[in-house]
Amino acid sequence: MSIFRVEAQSRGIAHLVMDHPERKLNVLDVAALDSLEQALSELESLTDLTGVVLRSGKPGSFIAGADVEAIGAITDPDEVRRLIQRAHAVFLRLERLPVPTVAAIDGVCLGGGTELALTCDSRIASEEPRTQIGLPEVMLGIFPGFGGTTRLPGVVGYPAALDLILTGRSLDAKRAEKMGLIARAVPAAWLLDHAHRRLAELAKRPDDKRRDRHRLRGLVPWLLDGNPLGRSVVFSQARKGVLAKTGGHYPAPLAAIEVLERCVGQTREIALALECDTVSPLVAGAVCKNLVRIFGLSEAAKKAAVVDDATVRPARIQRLALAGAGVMGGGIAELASRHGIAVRVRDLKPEALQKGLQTIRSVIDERGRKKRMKSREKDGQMALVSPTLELTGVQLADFAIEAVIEDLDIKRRVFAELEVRMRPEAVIATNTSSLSVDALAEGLQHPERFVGFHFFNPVHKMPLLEVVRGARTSDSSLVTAVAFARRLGKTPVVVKDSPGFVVNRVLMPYLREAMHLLEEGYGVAEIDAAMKHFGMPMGPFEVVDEVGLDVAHKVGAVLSRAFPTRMAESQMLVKLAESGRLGRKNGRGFYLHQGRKRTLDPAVRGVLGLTVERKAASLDLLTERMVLAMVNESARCVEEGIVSQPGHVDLALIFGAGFPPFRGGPLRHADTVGLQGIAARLATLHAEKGERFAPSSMLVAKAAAGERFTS
Amino acid sequence: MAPTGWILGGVRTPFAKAGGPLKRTPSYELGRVAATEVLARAELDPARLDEVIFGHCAMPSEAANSTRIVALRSGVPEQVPAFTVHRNCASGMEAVASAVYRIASGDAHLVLAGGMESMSQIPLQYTFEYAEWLQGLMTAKSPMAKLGALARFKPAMLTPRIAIAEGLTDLVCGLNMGQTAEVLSREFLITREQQDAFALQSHLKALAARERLREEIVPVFAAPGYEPIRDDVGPREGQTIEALAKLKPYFDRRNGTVTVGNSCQVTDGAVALLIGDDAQAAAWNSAPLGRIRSFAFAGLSPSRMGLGPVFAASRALQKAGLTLADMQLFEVNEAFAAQVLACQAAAKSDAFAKAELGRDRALGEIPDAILNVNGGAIALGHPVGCSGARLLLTLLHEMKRRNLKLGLAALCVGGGQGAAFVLERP
Repeated sequence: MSIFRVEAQSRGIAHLVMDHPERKLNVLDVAALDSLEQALSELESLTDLTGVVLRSGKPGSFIAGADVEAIGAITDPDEVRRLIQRAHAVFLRLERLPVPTVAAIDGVCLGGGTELALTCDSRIASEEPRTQIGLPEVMLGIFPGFGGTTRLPGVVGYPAALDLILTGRSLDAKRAEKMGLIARAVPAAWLLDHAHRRLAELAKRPDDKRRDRHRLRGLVPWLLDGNPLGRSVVFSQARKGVLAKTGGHYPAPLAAIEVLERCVGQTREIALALECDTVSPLVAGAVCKNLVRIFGLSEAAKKAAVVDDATVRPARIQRLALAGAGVMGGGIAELASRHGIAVRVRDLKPEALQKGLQTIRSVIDERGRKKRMKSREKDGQMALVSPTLELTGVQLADFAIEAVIEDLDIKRRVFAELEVRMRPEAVIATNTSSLSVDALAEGLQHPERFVGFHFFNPVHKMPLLEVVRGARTSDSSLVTAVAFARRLGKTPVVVKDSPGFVVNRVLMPYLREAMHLLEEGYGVAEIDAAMKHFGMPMGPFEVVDEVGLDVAHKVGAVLSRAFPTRMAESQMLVKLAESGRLGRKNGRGFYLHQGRKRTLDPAVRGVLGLTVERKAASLDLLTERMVLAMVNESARCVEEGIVSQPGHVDLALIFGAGFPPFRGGPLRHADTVGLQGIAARLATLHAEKGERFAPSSMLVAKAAAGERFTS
Repeated sequence: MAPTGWILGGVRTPFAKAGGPLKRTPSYELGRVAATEVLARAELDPARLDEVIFGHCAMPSEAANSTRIVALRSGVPEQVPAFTVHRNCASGMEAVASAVYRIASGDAHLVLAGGMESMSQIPLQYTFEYAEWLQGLMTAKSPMAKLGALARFKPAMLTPRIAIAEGLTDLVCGLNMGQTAEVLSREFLITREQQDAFALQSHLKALAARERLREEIVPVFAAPGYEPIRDDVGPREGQTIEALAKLKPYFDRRNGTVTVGNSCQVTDGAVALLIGDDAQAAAWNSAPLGRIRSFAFAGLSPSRMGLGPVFAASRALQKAGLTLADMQLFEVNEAFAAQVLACQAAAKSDAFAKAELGRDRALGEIPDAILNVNGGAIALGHPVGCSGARLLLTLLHEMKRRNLKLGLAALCVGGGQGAAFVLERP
């Protein structure tokens, strides 16, 4: 069974069909390249060939890309170069077939799949929602290296090429047609008919004009793309944009821009060689490895089994009972209704329900603008949310989420009320961020149905969901909860019931360290700058202002009781809150807020009673202490079995707290820096600064044994 | 045997004056809120429904068969069929009657029935002449033809048709509803003062009943800001007989007695009821609201349509084998004070009974003390598509509170009809 096969059709047309026998989706691995070489030899030998249609033999999907696992494993840049050169050579043979070639795309078409389609003279695609065409390589720390960077500008122009390559976004067939990436979007039922028709159209063109080419239509495209000056502006804008977004931490987008710029007007051979030379070191580099690892971890989080017993099946969720219409409740209701789940949301006051409905509608409108949803679609989603002041209409619910105020007794009462009304098989979940799932389960008739289901704010943007397994949570409830999280499009990480679970627990010592630094005299802006320089999207004080000083203090209080040495309570937040500072929500916190703008508040030092002022010799000294606090706590999470593997801590901190993905997470970062060095620094800080830096014994042991946390 | 059925449960939205807080909520959204809530309160899996039937007079063009829209958006599965009925003001009762006929024939066991109306959103319409002219302009191909089309334009074409006014006017006799009330005020000598006094009572009773009525009301979170509306918006605090007396007659400027103050209000609202057969009622997870003992529709002269309740009640009572004196509580829709007062007079009259009802004695008395005890349409409003259903819901709730066995709900219907239901709580 070969991966690529040639199927002869009538009138000299041949179908080049990719159908990888060992994979559910077509992937361009080394075996596929072998097979493609053979298939091309077969095509090149056909005497009355009139045209070739490249298509997938897997219904509903085209080609999902190159072998991500292989990309993650390969570390020798020369090996990468050889592989890429080989791919380039094979693809060139397809491009240079003497007959018209058309790619017929139905379903997912990403990365190498798009690049293979670009070697064809023309492309058509099916209009189904499953058809998504893109070049997401940049998200793995590389850029399209199978000839895509070389060929794309000729098809869509430089501005569009930069857009697709630098964002990695996917297009549906209609948008792909508009951009010129494909010639025509057609119904899936007529895809092959149209492919054959396109072959006939191409055959009428002279040989040197056979390929679909980008045409500059209109003044603006010519200004931007049709002349060197305009293009250089486009390139410099692209560079600026990348630097602003990535802080220079990601080499791939800048390298892609360089290749695109230098290849303007070059021959195919020179451009491909430059593409190969530039992308090879990136593939072998650390950023790519880290991003591929995270990608693998997140795919596993979305698919892997979470219990040993394979016979446990998740229950299907059609109706959700939701207690609490606050910020989180509103976000959860929008998310569930977006996925076609009927939500019965209860709150005690009509005003609370009003606000909740407003929250839901504003998220729907925001998403509706981006996706150009029709108003009847938005109304239809809103109609799935049914607000109530009484706890009625929950008997048929399959899943309940409690998102009320963080108070043990109030929450317990909600669970008791729900349990009396709901079916015994229905799962009851809590969105608590700081209370113990086991403590909350006390008093339930069936504690085995109870699970923690911790969303992050804002619900519609943050992908992480901590699914907390209580001591008595059954396999069935856990499996149902994880499946539900996945259905809602979230990345679930299963954690043990422990204060702060993973994300808040690792963040707290980090935030506390920032406050220690502030007490020692360093500036708020400096400390924040240090962490942003490290790669965090926001600095620690910006985060606290965003979350709210009252909320941060509350969570801090809970964690300080659980971990008194490392997360001792700080009076700082209390003092600031007493002076009327709650963060962004009331315009004043560590910063002064006006809408989106943030300015330093010089009065903060006075309120906190800080007299010493100090400047750091280098930001790295500040960064180091805060990052070590995170690393140390992350190690303890693994040590205490809060998660089942170190990768989950990395995944959680990246998806739930914005830890820079290019560093791969706190534990991967620690491995990269070297555990021996980390252990030594922790020991020094332990002696200098106190108990809070006492190193995790697992970290010390691994350092001594020359082991790593991550593979 | 008269076909019967059970009203297992029911809910309604607050009724709000047209142009008021519910004006931006489409009729099918009001219907959806009521339907969703009645299903939720009953903890009923909508897949168990056999049919959905709602009354709706002014169906919007974007929601043809609005009941189907309501059903699909309330979580009723696609497999459950749905249709909309129109018997003018009695559409809500017609929906329930349609449900009962299906149940009696064995074609259905459980039906979601009710009514909805947004009189705020009844549109202004272009005339046919204007539409025809526009069509001509669009299909004209050559510049000459286009000029010709433009020349045919007449400014009068732009005068809109006011659909709500047309809807409230009977085409056959040419009178609007208010004018038919004037007809009855003259026939039964009902004075302006009597009508105003009746109207005041409606407001006072409705205001006093606010707390009680919350039992049957589901709050609506009204577009655009999701403002919570929990009570009927219509009953007027501080309404006085003096204020009513100041109003000018609306339908007959010179010699009339009927004013906007002693007429029902143009209103938005929806009602949803669950109708079931004996087996459903026996197995229901809470006590059913009541049973439909009998119902009837009757026809009469369109110009005297206000007397509809008397004709229909006469038939319904006959079908039930009961008399008016057996009825312990009444809901008669207050289209106009004059009209209800006329009904009371007609019911009491032997001559009327002999001449018009084919009876040898008067139908009986409808005592004030047990008539519309929680207010009526003068205060609460009359969303035409659903009032019939509201009368049934309100009557049963009050019968439950007072532990009564038999009640009568009746409506007059524009175009010359009446509708009446005899309800019982066994």
